[in-house]
Amino acid sequence: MKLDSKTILIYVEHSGSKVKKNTSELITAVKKAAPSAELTGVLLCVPAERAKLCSDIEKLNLKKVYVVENESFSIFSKENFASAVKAVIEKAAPALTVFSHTTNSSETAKVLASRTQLAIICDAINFAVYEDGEFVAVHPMYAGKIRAHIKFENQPGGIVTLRPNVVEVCETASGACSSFETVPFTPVSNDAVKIINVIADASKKIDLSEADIIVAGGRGVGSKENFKVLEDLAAAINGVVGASRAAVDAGWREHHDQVGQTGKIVNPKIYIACGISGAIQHTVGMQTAKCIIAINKDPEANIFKIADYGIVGDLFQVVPELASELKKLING
Amino acid sequence: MNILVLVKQTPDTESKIKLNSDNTAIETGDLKYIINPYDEYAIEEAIKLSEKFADSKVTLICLGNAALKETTETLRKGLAMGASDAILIDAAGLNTACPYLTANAIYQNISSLKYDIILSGMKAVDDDYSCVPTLLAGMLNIPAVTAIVKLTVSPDQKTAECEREGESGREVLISSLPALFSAQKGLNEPRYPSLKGIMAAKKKEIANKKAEAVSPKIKIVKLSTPPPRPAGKIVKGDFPNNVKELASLLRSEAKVI
Repeated sequence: MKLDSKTILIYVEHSGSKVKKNTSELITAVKKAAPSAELTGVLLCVPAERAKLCSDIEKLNLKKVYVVENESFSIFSKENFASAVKAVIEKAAPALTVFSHTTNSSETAKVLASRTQLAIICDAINFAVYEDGEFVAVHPMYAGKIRAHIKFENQPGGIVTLRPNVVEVCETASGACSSFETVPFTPVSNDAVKIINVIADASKKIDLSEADIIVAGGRGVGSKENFKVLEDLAAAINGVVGASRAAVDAGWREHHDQVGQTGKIVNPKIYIACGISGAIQHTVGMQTAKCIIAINKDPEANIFKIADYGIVGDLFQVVPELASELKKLING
Repeated sequence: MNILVLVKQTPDTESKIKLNSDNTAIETGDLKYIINPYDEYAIEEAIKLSEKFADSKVTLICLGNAALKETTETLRKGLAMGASDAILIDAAGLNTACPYLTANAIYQNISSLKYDIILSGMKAVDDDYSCVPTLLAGMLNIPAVTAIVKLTVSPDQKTAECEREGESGREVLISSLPALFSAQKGLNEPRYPSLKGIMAAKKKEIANKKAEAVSPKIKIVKLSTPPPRPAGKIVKGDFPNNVKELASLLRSEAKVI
């Protein structure tokens, strides 16, 4: 599929009050791969959020933004969200529709693919246009041990989801968005599946895959209670706590904290691995972090082979000291 | 209750993966295979349901190369855990690098079967696409609830309550049946096959099926390996000086704090 001068639709992800950073990541990645394509956006929101979000969108340099506003969007339903995007696709006829590969958006993208019969490439980390003009998405397989370069085969259009945090956002000169168009929409009531409750997890502030700073613990932490020292470090530097499979299997952390092949694949700015030996099934989940710091008492631990900085020592001494040193730096 | 479980074999998660000389495929010679870890949760959940509801049948469905022993070994292990039947759809000649084609090949073979619940892993740890469950459910026109960590089927077997990790917390959902559920880690603790189960599994027939190829919608142009990460440095010195040194390097050299 070739993208020259074609329309690309960006799914604008937001928190209700503001457009999320990963929307800018999508725009940066698409612009790099297809500079001559026309970028449009699709915004789904409840009516009360519209004004605030649209003023945020003005900064994104999109040619046109299709707005679907409906009270039903206050609760996430992949069927309802996908059918709203489908309505926009029928209007805008984009060559490519791009989502961030976050929990909800990737679900929406898959249901959209299923409903529209459009081809989908999930969880890409980069886009490229080959010499023959073909659009290619790079998707990590085997948890990132291998990268597959994938193209759409005989397709009029397609859907791609881009992993959050892998693209460095380029700020472009902001120009006003040329137009907003409201797309009428009747929500689909899904009688087959109903959400009856959402139990909020107060400790889960940011999803690991979107976090900038992760403090992760492994077998060396030793117990559930001992994770307190990691939580203190995370709190000091505005990070979140992750864990290795060993720590999750031991019951010290919840599964949604697990980093690795059977957990989350993360790309933070800083990854501090504490008491983690560095088994391949863990390291594939975090090896694309910008700066890896390893703290382990075993100088032979594998984790030191991929760490930018390592300290050989007792994590119960090192971690609290590091928290206080970094706090001093941050508070300047 | 009739339960179908989608299973496949994947290289062991501890394996190193190497590419062949022209970067079109991985070297499979030295690889050790396991059941895709998420599929084990699906099998376990199906067996637990079959133990709870009388007259249940658990049928394993595997799309794989029928000529490879790893494919039948996967099914034998699932049978040894307690599944009643196994269907092997031969993937030879199919481009299974396209999730649409994979879902379609499974659809062709299960659309006429009787089922109340389809279980699968939330993704396979080889291609990491995670698309097949949703695409298949769409083809079958049944609901799909992905990455579940809890499943409770109502006594009348008409609905199921399940839980999944959503963006804003743990979602509790009720789905009508039949439906497809994909399993996330945390759903259960897969059992080890008993010796009796292993012996019984050896005697069970695996039904061999085929699928008509449809045009793939995506194609892998090439494979590559990620650039290796250069080795970093161990910050030397005694505690706490080494920690002070590390903090200062993070600001002055790495510029991340």
